[in-house]
Amino acid sequence: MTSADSGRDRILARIRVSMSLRSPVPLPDRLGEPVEVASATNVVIDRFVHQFAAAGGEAVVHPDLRAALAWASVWCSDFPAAAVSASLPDALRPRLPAVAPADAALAVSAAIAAAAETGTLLLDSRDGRRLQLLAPVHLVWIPRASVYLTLRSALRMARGRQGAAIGLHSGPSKSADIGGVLVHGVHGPGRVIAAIVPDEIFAGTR
Amino acid sequence: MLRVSLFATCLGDQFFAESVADCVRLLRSLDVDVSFPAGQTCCGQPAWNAGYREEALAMARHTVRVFEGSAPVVLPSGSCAAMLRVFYPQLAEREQDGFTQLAQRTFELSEFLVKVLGVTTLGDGLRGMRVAYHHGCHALRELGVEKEPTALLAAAGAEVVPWIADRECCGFGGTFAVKHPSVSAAMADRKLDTLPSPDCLTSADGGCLLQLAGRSRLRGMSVTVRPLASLLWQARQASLSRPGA
Amino acid sequence: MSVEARAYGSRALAILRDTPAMRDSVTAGALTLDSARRVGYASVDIESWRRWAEQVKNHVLTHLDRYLLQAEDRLRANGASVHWADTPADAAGIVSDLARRHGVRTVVKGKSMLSEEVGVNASLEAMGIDVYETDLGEYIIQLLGEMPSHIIAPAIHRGLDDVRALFHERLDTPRDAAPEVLAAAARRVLRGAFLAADMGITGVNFLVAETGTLALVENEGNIRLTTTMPRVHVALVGIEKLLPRFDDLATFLQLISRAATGQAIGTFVSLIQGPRTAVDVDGPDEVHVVLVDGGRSALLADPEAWEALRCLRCGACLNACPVFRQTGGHAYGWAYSGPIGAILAPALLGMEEGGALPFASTLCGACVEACPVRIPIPRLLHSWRDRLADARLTSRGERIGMKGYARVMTNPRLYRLASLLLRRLPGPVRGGRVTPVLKHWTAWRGALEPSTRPFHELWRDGIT
Repeated sequence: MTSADSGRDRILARIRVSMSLRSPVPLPDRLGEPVEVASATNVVIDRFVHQFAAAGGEAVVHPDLRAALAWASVWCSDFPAAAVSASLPDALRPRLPAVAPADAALAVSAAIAAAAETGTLLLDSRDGRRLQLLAPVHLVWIPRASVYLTLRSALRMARGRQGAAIGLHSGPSKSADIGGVLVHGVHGPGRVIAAIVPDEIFAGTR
Repeated sequence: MLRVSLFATCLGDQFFAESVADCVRLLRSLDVDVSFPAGQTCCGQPAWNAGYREEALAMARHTVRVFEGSAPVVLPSGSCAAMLRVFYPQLAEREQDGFTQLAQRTFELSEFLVKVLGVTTLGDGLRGMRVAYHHGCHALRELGVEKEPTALLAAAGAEVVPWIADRECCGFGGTFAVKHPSVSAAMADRKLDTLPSPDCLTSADGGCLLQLAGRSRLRGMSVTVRPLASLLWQARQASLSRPGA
Repeated sequence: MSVEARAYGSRALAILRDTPAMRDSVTAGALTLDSARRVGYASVDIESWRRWAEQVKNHVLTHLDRYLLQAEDRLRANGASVHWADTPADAAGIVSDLARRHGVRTVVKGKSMLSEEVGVNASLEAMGIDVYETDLGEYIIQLLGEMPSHIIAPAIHRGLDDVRALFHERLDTPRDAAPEVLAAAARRVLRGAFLAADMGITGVNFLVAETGTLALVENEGNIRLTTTMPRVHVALVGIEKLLPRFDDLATFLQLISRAATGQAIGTFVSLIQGPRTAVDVDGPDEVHVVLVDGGRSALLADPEAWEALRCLRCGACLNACPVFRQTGGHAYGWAYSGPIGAILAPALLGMEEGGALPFASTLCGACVEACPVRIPIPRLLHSWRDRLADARLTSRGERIGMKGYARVMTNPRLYRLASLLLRRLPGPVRGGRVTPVLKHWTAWRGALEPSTRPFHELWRDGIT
């Protein structure tokens, strides 16, 4: 037996002795509302926009593809190049030269879900974790139907995916570690823009 | 006529004698028959807080014996009232009944006035006085005495001034005050530095007042510090002495 | 980790006497966090959340072996390696071995209190490895050579001017640089470290047994980078960090965030299943999870103090504590400070080493309503005091004093005699030179003035 195994056995043995001294506490049911079936009502979208903004993020809601593309072409023109995630629908890819995440001033990707109650975007590691983190500005597209009211419902979407990690991003990177003053963009993106678009744009991509 | 037993507490007996007398005057003016069981000393809280269970238990047994009977026990001290009501039952060994019975008829003064006697106003003797009220931790968090003192002060015409640190601990904490005096004093300073220059600083807890008064005097501040019982008696007294009142 | 918890009193005194600005920084920072926590609690049904979280944690702690084994199973199925560390030294050894095996030269770290407890930095630095703390506050105190002063805000004791002076000297920023400029300078240095690092070391906030998910909450993005950039990720996990179900995360992530900073959720949450998979474009090749005991399984046997194992390390009790707010964490002399540090110290350090800290409290109870998992902190502080006194780990003078005090107070005749002496012998009271205990009172509050006559004499003569 290796010393590592004996450490494991010692710990488990002590835990079992300790546990025998008290009565087991039952596991309570999950807290809160049942998981939503339908979502993305205007109320939910508004709540997301509000919460995301409260966390320092910027959210825009586009009624259709045309409006989204018109907005994006103007908005992206401020940047010389962008790092773009592979899974993004062609229609949403900015007409900019591609660069590696570490060199990009702008990163563009899509969220697999969003939670309105916390203002949270759920990002899949398949889209590139460096891409989600290294550029100072991150534009995230979200299909409207993927915006859920509760974090629990949104997390259900993340469960069992093939990628190694899910990142929850709720607004820009921030810190108050220097004299209690709030600073944005410490390590992760200093600006995060959530763009909500109709579901058809994403048809067939996921 | 309602009968109560007064527990002056050792701190009240030794350091706030006149204020305990004011407590008696106030209760009598409300037609309460006050007795003062002669053998009373200290509730034992300093020993309990410091971990000396055996010593605390000896003092608790003594106190339970002294206050045997059925009359409510009234204390002009939130902290000592919490000792009797909340901590005695935790301390008791074989004599659980007597300890619990005492716990159930123990009251801090303002709580007794409001909850048992149903007093809403004592008089208007504090008209125009700006009062800062310090919530002693045990009165506030162990007894849940929160609104009673300030309601009685306000009803007597006092302006209870907003004080950002009114619910923060003053740093007294029994033996803490002498074990870690520098931290204890810094805590008192935080209270005093945020105090909005009232006419009077008061509390239901004598220990806190010793701490705050001592610290403010040492720092050369001119803060008038008076126990709650004395202010409440002043509130009452003015109305009593007015002809026709 | 160097432990100086015995010296609480003298360290506290020194902080207050020598560095008054430190108290101001700590007070301001902690009060800001405490009021943010109150706002964060007020907008949800916090009492239901807290009761529920308390019960989930109690369930885990009463089924801990089962959940640890389930988590181990899942983690391995996800491709992560699982190590068990009985002691902090074992954990440091496991991390050192991994670093050696992978030829690691540069380590980036996400802030982890467990890594402070284990003392990872010292053992890696002894191997010649460059270790970068990447949380901004942790980076500041690493440059200063200090310990964290707060569980979630390690540099809470340092003001803007301290950081300006430090970064001017070390990072060549202007003397009057704005916080944004200072943060940008740290970002530049640390971005270089992220790109160069071979190993990332973090703690975790939660480990979900059902799915083997590691959950980490933060605001800067440094933990996401630490778990993304290097080829090896090592997560130090206290054995009490488990949650049974993936679904439990939704509530716990929000609860810990509201308790810590009042936010609806921390800006970044990393949910990590294991090393990069075939579908990933980046991420670490290896994920190592080190399950650390370090006294926790023994604490689980404690009939009262076991409840401290529910702790989420949110720091809410520190912010609520008026004792903590005077000195910050350095006075406590080890990784965990404030109320939670005071109840963990005798358990994890031993009663002799950690026995001073349960007395670093006035038992005011402000921590009770702050704790997201309802740990009865004042009751546990009191329980430790009982045991310390029973074990004769309090001072001899105090023991004798308490005996004498109880003797006087259980004998009314002696009490009245003492009452007379208090007035006849003004020396000890007024001057405070005779008894050492009174000296500690009078030096900080002036002379004690007893009433001219005690109340029991007024009563005897009749109250009018």
